[in-house]
Amino acid sequence: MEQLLKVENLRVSYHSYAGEVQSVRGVSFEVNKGETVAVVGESGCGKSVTSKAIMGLIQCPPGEIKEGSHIYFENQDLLSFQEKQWEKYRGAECSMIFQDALTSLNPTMNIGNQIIENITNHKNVTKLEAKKEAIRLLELVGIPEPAARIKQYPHELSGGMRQRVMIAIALACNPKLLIADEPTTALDVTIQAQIIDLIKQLQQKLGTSVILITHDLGVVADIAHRIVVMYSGKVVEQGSSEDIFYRPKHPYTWALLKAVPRLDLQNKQQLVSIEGMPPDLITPPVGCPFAERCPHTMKICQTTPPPTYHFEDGHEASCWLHHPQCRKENLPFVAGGGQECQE
Amino acid sequence: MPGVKDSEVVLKVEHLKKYFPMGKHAVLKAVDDVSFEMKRGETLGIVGESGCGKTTCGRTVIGLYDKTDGTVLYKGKDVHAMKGNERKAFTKEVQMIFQDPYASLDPRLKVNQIVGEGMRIHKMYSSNAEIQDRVFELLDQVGLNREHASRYVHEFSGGQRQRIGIARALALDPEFILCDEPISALDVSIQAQIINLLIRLQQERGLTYLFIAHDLSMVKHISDRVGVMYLGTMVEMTTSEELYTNPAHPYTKALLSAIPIPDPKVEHERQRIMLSGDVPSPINPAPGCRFKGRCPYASAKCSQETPVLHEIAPKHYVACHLY
Amino acid sequence: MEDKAIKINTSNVLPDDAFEDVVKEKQPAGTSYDRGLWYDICRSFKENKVALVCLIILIIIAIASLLAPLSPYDPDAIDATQKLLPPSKEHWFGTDDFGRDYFTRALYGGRVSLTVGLASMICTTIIGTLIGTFSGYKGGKLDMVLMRFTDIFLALPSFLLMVVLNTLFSPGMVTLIAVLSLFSWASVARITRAETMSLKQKDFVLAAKSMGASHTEIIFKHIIPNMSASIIVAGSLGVAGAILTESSLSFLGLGVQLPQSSWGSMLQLAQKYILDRPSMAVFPGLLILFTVLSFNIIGDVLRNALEPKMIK
Repeated sequence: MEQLLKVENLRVSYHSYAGEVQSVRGVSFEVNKGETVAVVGESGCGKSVTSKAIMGLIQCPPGEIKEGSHIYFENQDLLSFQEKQWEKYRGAECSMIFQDALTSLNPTMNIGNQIIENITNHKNVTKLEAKKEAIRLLELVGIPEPAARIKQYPHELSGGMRQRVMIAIALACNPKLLIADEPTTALDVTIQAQIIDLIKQLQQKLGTSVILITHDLGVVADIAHRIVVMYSGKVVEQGSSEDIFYRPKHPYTWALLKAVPRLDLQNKQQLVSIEGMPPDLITPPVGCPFAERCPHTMKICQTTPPPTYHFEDGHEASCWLHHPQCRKENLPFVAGGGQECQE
Repeated sequence: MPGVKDSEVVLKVEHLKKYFPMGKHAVLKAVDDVSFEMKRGETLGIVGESGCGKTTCGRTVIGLYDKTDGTVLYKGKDVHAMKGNERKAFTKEVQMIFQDPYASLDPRLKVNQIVGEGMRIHKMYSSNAEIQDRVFELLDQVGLNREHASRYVHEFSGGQRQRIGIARALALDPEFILCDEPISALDVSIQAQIINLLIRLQQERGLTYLFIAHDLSMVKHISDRVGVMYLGTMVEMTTSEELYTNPAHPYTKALLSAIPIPDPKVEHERQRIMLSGDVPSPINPAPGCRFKGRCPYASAKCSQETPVLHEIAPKHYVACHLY
Repeated sequence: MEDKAIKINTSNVLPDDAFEDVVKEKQPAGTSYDRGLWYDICRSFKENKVALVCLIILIIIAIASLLAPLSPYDPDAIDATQKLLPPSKEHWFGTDDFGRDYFTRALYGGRVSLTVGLASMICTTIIGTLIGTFSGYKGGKLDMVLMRFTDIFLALPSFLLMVVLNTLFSPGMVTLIAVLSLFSWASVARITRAETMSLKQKDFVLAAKSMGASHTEIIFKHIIPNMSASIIVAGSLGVAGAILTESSLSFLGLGVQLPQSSWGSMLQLAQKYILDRPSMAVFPGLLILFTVLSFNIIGDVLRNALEPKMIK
């Protein structure tokens, strides 16, 4: 598969009141054409900052993209772009949908005009053509009676409908990459299922690459081809959806998978939870960032950051448990999930 | 009526209605004829999508909102008729945990002031030192450190704030806690922490929970019985085991099928019941079953007759014409 | 497949005890980045140099006014031989048309101007906050009545009425303060009412209510402290406004009475000599300008410093 986006050693800091917050600390991953990549992690793990960096939406200051970071989009380094190039890229090549559709839509403009504006900004078409295109887009995202709806304002729509409009606006110029930042977090479960289903269908129909950012592994099981698990500004594990769900290699991924209560669990049984809090990113820990909360911590975890171990098919994890000298037993998942690290 | 025959009924809600007038001819029927009972030490879960009236129902039950009609009896006393000392005693026994851990803690106060506020209001301890000790004890119980007591809330993450909210509720040694979506603003990994904490506290102190949420999987896990609400009405109520193994109402089935499962193979294979459309507006609802517009089994009867909650199996109540 | 892991493994074999388990204790509380209110305020002033200069100016003016009696000159002693002297070593600001030391008079004038400004600001914010909070919190009919009352005060041509009231009552500092407060509480009431309306909907107020807190407790513990940023801004603007109004009234001869001086009355005196001795107008004018400007800027900085910050 052809590569569309490559993030290489991305480091982003925010200069805050309390000091320099190292939000993203060396993130690398790739997105191929027509692929859905899910970025999973808790709030504050840097997943949204990463997506903002890809969209060129990090304000400097207080943000700062560190030297040595690269984001390649079709082999062009985005971080060397000038403002004009960014304007051409945003919306046309890559677009984004946000968690809160109500605040991301302009409340004083009807939804038709918001879509038309986005089309005419990037394409040389007449108003009438743009309107037709807007109606087609609304139909595409499953809004009934699009020709009538086009005159409605955001507040007249329900949460699910608003999120559909957001998707229609994002797709207006056939972008090659769609970034969805927690698109379903604010929605109810039944609507969440609808929206995820919609993104999946559109992705198959249009061949757009999708980066789906979420904190809930359950949401992405059906839709993601590959999954990137982030923790405190670093990628701790990435691999295909099957790798992550059936052969996870990092204790954080194990914990994330088990934290979702399954309906077949005994009632009121203690859930497997990740105790404690993510580390403070102003003074990040010297060793493995997860060591503080990991149930398998070893001495080395607290002193040295773990190297990245590669397994078959681009599956990689950063954890000392895969070091050949590690003799840990009774680890969950590893025994059932194929071979340990390649040696 | 749904419920228990046990004598240890703590809360009895009968035909509770809460309407909000919206201009001249419109009425928002947030809660429309809801009845249930709760035993001591039990957890009753209430699930439903946003706008179904579950939060309003909970807040009306504990007397934060005035009712429109019906009765709420707490230990045999009418909650909405309480005055003076009776009311004050009620506010000590009944506590609340909020959904939004950012909005529910006063940003101008330090943690020990927040946790100690109730103790000061009810004059539970004579000296500040006693209150301070109790605050430390509570922080310990909810998994925070003593050092946290002297900090402001803006220094805490969502999960930690929710723990502060729980400590505040526990400070008054309550018997009944209304948990109003306590986990829906939190990350999945933190949700499990809070649920574990709530379960542990219930076992230690014999608390009664009215647990409101939109996430059926968590509600099912913590509750003994679950009630499903749709547009202000209770459509199904049964034990959580029964609800999961044997859901009756089409809406409950749809809710269950919408829960994402962290397993790609299962996800690819399973057939979802996709509900079309959104929850309709609760303003001036049409007569008949409220779910008829989205129900795959809707018939003519559904738009003429409003289904009532009736028992279809032991302890299993459904409001649907299919049964 | 090329494997990084292998390289790492072979190049340096780690000591075996590195892989021993660690017994963990409870996670520590973590570093607190909150260094207290005073630190925040000092930091804001350090970052904002203009504000720092304003603060220093204000402090100098205030201390100088306080220490005015130390001046070797009597502010009211008339000396016809020393009339209208230009600024010199003996008389820093020169002398006025009665031969009084202009610098000493400016210091005593500062006492009046600052006292009037601060006192009327305090009265204004207290009255305004109480009425606004009460009105917003209670709501309903009482709110309507109180707000119409406030609207009336906002709609009155206040300066004109101040002139009238000042002529009716015996002029002096107390009258000035009372009149100034009477006509400026309404805008504070408006601001605090709006804030109260939004604050009383907040979950933390509901939480206090559900715990059985009384209305007074809610108002004084939760609502007013959360409005402090707006109250401080309103207060600092209030000081500035009051000093300006006091100057205008004194300029019209309706402020403090002779021989007492204030910056406004000094400006009035200077009018006659504006062409010959412009410095007589410039000194009190500059003092008013710097004081008013400083209060405005400092109010802004304080608001930023008092805002609860998101750190994580």
